[in-house]
Amino acid sequence: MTPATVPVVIEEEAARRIARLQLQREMEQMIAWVQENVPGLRGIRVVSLRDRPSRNDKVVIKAYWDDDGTRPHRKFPEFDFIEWKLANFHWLVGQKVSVWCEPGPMPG
Amino acid sequence: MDGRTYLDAVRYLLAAPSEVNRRAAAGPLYCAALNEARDALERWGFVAPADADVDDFVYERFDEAMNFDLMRIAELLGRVEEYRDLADDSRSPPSEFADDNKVIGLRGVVLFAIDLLARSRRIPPAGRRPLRTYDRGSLDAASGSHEQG
Repeated sequence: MTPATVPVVIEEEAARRIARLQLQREMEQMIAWVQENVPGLRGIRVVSLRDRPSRNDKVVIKAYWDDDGTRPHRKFPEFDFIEWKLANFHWLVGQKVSVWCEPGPMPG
Repeated sequence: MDGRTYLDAVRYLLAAPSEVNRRAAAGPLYCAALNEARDALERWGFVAPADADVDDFVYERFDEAMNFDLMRIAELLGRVEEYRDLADDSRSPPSEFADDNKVIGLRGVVLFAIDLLARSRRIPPAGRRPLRTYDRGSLDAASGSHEQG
């Protein structure tokens, strides 16, 4: 599949977190995976999640796509991503980054 | 009551589309996923201590398992919990709740996760004592992904 050309936004706090964790190279590969594997991709926004007792330093790649949740045989690229990231990165790296597919266009 | 019964409430709320109903749907979505995940852990012998924070206990058990299906459950739990927190904050952007798509999408992911949990009903092999002490390998075994014997 040809990688989609879509806007990619990395929010400030997420960028700081990625830099502190030294995950720049991994993030580039993960964003490329999203571009290649999320059908109907409309935009990508990388955000950081609020820390909780059971998890910290989490980063999410939000992939905005054309999906209204009603397709009869839905794909879940976010779940495919789990297998890919664990096959390609150290488990502790993979644990820090998630992909969430969100319906509709990327908010401005 | 089964955790999935909370999804009935989501259905009722979606039947009357509005911003407040979409926000209200986030709670039962999370309850459905959390309770089904907790029930699965208990079937496998992982019972949360009385003083444990159930959200954290359940999330950690799934997140730290070296098993794709179990990690998918953790992923879903974290995501729906974030959505619930967003929905519960009346100052969060109304644009997040402008249509039903997000709730419908998350409901689909929750149903997928509940189905995964249902398919992982295998219990530890007969003759073994129920698993009470958490370790990554034992949780994998209990979920049936690396079943032995």
